Amino acid sequence: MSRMPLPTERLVQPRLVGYDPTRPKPWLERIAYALFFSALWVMVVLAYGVVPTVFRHYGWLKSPLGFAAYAVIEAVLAFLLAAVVALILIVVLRKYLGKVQERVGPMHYGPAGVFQTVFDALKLLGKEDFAPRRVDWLIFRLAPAIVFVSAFLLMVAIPVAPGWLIADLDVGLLYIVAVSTLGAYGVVLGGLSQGNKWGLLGAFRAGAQLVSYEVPLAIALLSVGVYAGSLRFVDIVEHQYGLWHVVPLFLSFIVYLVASIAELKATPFDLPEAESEIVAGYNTEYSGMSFAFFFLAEFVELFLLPGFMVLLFFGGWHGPLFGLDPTSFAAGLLQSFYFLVKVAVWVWIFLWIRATLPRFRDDQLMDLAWKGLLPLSLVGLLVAALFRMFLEVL
Amino acid sequence: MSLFAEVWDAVKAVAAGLETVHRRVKQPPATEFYPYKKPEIPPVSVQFLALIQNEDGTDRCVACLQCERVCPSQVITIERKRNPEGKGFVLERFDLDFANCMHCANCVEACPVSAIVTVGEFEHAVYDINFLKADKAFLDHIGHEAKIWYSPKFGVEMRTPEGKIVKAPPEMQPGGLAELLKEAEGGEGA
Repeated sequence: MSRMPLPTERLVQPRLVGYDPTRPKPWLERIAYALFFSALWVMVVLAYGVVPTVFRHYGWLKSPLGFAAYAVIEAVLAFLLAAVVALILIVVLRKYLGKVQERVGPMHYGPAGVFQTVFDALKLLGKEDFAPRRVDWLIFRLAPAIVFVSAFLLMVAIPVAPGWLIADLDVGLLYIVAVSTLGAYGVVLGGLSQGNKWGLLGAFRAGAQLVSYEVPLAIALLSVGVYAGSLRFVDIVEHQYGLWHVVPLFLSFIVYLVASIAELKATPFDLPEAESEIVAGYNTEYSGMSFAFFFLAEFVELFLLPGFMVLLFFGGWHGPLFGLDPTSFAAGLLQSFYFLVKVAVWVWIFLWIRATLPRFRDDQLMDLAWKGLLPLSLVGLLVAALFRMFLEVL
Repeated sequence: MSLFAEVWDAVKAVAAGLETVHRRVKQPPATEFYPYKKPEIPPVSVQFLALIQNEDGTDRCVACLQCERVCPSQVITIERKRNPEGKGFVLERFDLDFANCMHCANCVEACPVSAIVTVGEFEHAVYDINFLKADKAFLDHIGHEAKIWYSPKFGVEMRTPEGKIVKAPPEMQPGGLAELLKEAEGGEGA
């Protein structure tokens, strides 16, 4: 008769790799997050500060070859920045949701699990990128690219300090409305092309959500443009010296907040990928790196939409300069730091809202968007125009 | 209710939710680190069975076959012989088929000498169902490893670091704390 193994003879003994979760070290966690933030800052300084300044200083942008080199270098840097942002935000989101739900969250890889995302990315790289037989192959493959490119293109428009920007767009507000809408196209096409009922439902919901929130969002942005008298981000930020736009344009700010949560597909409005209802919504059939690109785009937008909010309503890079020349490089470092801190605070508030509110129903979202946000945004536009009129008269 | 009152109610509700969530961030996690930290499970809950030996190494079991008779799944097999040195029987074989055992602990209740007991040990998943057949050596080993065990006749017993078997204090007995409280209340009333 075979003998029953004793507990000490078991085939699989649980063992810990590296960090011991039973003895948490909060200081190590804080150092890791500080290093993350510094890495993000370095990437932002490189992509928005050093490279454009050098290229403009030496006049390399005027020659075609120099312009091509600039475009390639900036694309690579922006992609690295997007990857860093996603790696940081995913682990921050998971740790924060864990703390809210009285769990630990990721804890095994790295101090307090801060390198979990790296291993997740490696896992996704190693997985097969599978396409079912019934999919519309071309659109199925294009949809993640469209979603990611739209989030990626938004990074071009952000100025992080005076003179620190990749492209100085005269119609920055128009540009972000147009490009972010493109991302919703990617979601709808990805859901429709996969021949899956859950994907189809997710695509329907994404389409309904898109037409609902884009209109109030665009009107809120328009009211900022009306009040500042320009569609350029640099002019809008310069216009906020003395008074941040959040005070006179509070209604537009509220509309932008709600609509940008809807654009993020974060929890109160995560209808297109409602995990508990329709398996994963529009990305049900995606696996491997295609899925990773959807994920990457979502978290890049989680960084960019609070970024635009800070630029439009919270004075962008404004902060105490301690007597530095505002156009110097040191002042640029300091101002980009202020910008990133404001964005980090708003990202935290977005995560907080995401951890708190339950999911809306389809009709409730459209109710809110058409009957609540649209009139509110129109009133906000009216208020902005009135304030602008007073500014002109005074 | 006017529209503004409705909106104000909604704002208040969302703010209350946000405040609750923020309070929960500071609370310690309720996570059990199970495979790395083994939880102490009270032996009163039926997790696993063991045979207890006396302090001098002799079997407590008197081979009365009560457990074999009462077992509803009939998984206990006992072979015994007459004790050559005196009266009674000695065990030759005690097999327990855990693949079919339903952990009802009727054998523990039936045992007149508290030889077969319930212990808090629980990690006995195996890859092959044929491994789930315990013999006397295995059950004795579990009994030796156990720090604390339970049987209805003697209550919770524990092994001291010196190897002596003693009865656990009343607060560790099932219902012991309630009885202590009852005595205290009665004392106050009288």
